[in-house]
Amino acid sequence: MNAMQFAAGSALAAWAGMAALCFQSSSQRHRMGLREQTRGQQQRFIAAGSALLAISLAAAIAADGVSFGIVLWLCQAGILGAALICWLPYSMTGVVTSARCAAATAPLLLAAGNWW
Amino acid sequence: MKSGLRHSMDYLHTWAGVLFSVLLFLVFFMGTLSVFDREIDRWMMPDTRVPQPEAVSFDRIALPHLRQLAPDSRQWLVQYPSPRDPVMRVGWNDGKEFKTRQVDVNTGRLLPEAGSKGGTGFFFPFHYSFHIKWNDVGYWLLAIVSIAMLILLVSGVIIHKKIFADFFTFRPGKSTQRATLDVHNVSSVLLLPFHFIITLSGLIIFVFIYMKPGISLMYGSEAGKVSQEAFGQVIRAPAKQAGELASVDAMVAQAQALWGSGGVRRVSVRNPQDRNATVEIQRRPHDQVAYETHTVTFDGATGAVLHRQNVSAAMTVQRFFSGLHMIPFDHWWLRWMYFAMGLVSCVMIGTGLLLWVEKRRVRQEKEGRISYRIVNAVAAAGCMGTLVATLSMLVANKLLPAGLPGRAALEQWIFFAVWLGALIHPLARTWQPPHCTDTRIAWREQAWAGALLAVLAVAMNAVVTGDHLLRTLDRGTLAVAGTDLVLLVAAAFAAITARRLSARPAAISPEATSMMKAAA
Repeated sequence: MNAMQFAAGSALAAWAGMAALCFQSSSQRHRMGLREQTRGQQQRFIAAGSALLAISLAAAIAADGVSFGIVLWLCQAGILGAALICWLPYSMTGVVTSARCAAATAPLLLAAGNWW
Repeated sequence: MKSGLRHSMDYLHTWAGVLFSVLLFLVFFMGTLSVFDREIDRWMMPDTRVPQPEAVSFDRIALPHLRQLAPDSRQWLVQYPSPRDPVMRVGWNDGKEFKTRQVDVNTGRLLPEAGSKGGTGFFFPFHYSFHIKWNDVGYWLLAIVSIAMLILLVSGVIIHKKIFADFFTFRPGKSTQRATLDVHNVSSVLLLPFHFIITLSGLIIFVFIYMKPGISLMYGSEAGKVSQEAFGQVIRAPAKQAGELASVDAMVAQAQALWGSGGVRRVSVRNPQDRNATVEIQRRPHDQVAYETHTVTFDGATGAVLHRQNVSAAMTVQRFFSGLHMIPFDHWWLRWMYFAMGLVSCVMIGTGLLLWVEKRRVRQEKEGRISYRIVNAVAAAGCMGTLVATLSMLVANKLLPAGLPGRAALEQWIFFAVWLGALIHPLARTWQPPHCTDTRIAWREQAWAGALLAVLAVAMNAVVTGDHLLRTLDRGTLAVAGTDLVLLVAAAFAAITARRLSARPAAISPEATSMMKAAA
């Protein structure tokens, strides 16, 4: 198991998870000029965001152990969430693209970390 | 009932915030700097920029210096080098105060007096005691401020009507007041676990100080015994017969064998010249969150194990929270996270103060009241002024000649003098027509001063020590390179802030007017 790859995977999953939770917010979508979501779509975004954050927590624990993993995850989710929300008004495309890339890369990194 | 509670909490949040924000900002800002206190030491004390030693010997390196510097001292303390601190610190109590010197372990050379308190001697104690030592007043002030912080956190959650909806809201394009409120909300809600845990753990660390009245009641004149019992210390009275210290290196090897893994954090020798000498060896808690040092105590004369520390369950909890707060472990990513979160906390406190001012500016101006101007001046001095004073201290560290008597104290006084100046400046601006209603002038000017001082500090470090950024990066002196880089980033942020404050006129926005009417 490669701890570095797990830690990086955890950070990327947290970024993507916070982005998914951010984009389910109807007031945020309204501000960004995105179309309204149906209730089902919104629930799917919440589920995806929560799942990604859960994966991020699991990866952080796998990388650093239970105590360090939980502390790291709490700090990481908060800081990355704050950075994402502050970046969003300046570049929605940047946030969306980076979140998609993070969501795609995180599982690859975690799989690679598990392999090596 | 609910709205009544919310209204009361709103009142509490507003006024507790105004009363305690400057002190809270100080605690959080100094705490944020203390995350990298050892690295700041390297930057402020160029003589300590030595390579990491490969092996450390107490008998060969520390003992000769201690025998020469403090032959009659009743206690010697030796801090071993660590990945963040390549020098060995030897310390002793001379009966009046605790003194320390630094030793380059590679050469065994006693380094000259640092001439600076550095991060560990100035910023870190400022964080937990405000440098007020008399009767533990600083610690008690910290307790009051911490409790105020907990009250602010709880009341802030209660008054936030749409906490989840506002979770993701940041509208920099809206009015200053709206954007400030958004930043205040985002920084407080997203890092709520951090704010809560760091404040609570800060209180738990000093439990022995805050419990002093209770301890005195229980232990009477033997109050000192409580820490011996809690930490499992063995303290023997001196036999008053001369004794020879056995090999401390052998004791260190024995302690390491008992631990299984890990290096030494600190060696403490009590009654070093006496037959009843004891040697306490602490493990460096580099691989765990809890600040557990697994101390092993030896008989100084024979080298036999006297005691292995076994802390109680209550103390295990205290040690865990201490570790969570003080980051004794080797985890660079987490250390940087703490640093970033500390800065976000400072932003939260600063924006809270700005909100108070911005909310009252229009109304008070119409009513001919000026209390908002005074709060604004205090807020500018408390937030931007603290940054300017810190940077002035760093510049003074490079400008004051080495070997100047009282150099370390002078550096400290420069900090306080600039800080006082940073309070006088916005107060003077407040009564200077025609701009007295523009609350941003003092902030903008101090932001420019901060940007210039940060660049000057980096330049002075390069000129005076020769360790410019390219060289430190090339040699891998990351403590110095990192401090320089953070200073440059701080300069950039300060300049951007100053420019933004220049760009936007402080006109009364229609939104603010409507909010004011609604409030009325």
